[in-house]
Amino acid sequence: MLILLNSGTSAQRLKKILTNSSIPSEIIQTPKSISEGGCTYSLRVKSENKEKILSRAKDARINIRAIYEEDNMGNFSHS
Amino acid sequence: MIYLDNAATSFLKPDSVKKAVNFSLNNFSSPGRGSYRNAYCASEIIFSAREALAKLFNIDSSENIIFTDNATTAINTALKGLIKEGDSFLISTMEHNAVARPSNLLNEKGATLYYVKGDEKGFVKKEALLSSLNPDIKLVCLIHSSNVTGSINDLTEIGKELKERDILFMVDASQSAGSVPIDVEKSCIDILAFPGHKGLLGPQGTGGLYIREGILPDSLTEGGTGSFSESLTQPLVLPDRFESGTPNVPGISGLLSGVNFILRHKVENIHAYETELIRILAEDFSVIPSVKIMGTPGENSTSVMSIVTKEDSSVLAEKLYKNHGICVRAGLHCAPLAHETIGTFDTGTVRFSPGFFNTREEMKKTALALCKCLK
Repeated sequence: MLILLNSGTSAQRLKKILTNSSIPSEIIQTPKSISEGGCTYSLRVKSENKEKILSRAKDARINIRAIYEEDNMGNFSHS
Repeated sequence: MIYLDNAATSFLKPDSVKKAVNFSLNNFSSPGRGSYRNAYCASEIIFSAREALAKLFNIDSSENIIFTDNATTAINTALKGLIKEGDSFLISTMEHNAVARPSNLLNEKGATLYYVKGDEKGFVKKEALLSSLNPDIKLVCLIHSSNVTGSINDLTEIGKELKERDILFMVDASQSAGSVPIDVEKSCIDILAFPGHKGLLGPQGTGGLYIREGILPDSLTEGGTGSFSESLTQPLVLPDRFESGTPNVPGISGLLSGVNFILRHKVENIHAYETELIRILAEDFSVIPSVKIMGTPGENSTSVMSIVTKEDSSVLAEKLYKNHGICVRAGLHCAPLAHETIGTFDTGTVRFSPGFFNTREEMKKTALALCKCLK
């Protein structure tokens, strides 16, 4: 699952918060096909952690731009 | 050489700062603009620097810290981004030209500028500030510690009063960041401008600005931010809104190292040691005939002391350097309003500003050298 964020700093903040909660994540440059026009960064996370991640982001007042599910073929769908 | 011009820049830095700059030059590329290791590492360093500064100043979200070239750029960004024609704002007469000049320009462009006068020792007292307020004032910009006298203003008692009145509180921490504890929450600070190259021990060309969430100044500079690239409009989100173009990664790497040094040694300990140094200097200077010490060095001050003597200030500073290798700064220190306030506009002063890497022995040697120069 990809969580699109507003800025690289937002992505880094959320990653740090998730790491502190033992939730694995990886910062990647958002694929152009889903970047909604511009350069942005995303966090690649496991779907099973979605609710926990949304909760942590809300607590830290980090805005999430969009969430996409990723299938085994690398295709994305809006979550 | 005895370097006593830390109020201008902390020339003596921890070795770790120099190593960090060098490492950055050799290993990091442009952050936020690439999906390869060197770029990610650069982004990580910048994020770590933001986080370290947030910890130092008790800032909730590091996204609200933007990096600038120095404190002057930070101050200009905030003042010009917030104060518009028809607005009213207030500064003190102890401000450096970094605040006084953009304020004067804003005044010429149609904003109304009010002043609160500092006292003869260089302090801006809460009572004086409160009596200078009026209902139209939108923002107060105050120097935390004077670069002329070292006097430290009580941010917390002033900040609480301004918060009650719904007035934005902006602080110029050029002389205090890294040398005096600063807590933006406790002191109700909305905007904090700071240099990276003085008390924070980073390289020159670094500085920063904290902007409380909910405050959104206009941008001074627009350009590429590595975000929202589809839009021709500057992003609204921080820090991107104020960080167009490639940042000073080597500088910020060094700044991170400087801030980490301070976090390890603790600001309270640094302040205590520097206070001890300035007290030694003040005590020894006080017995030299014809030396007039300005302010209250060692008492509610940073390690900055200005003196007036029978000698021209610039000539004395030159003698101290040429005859004794002592580096100080003479003149008006880019703070003409402050010198007017304490009565030294016509003479200027010679300013001594020891730092964490000076020794007690150097203070003794400096006093002896001053004595010889004035004979």
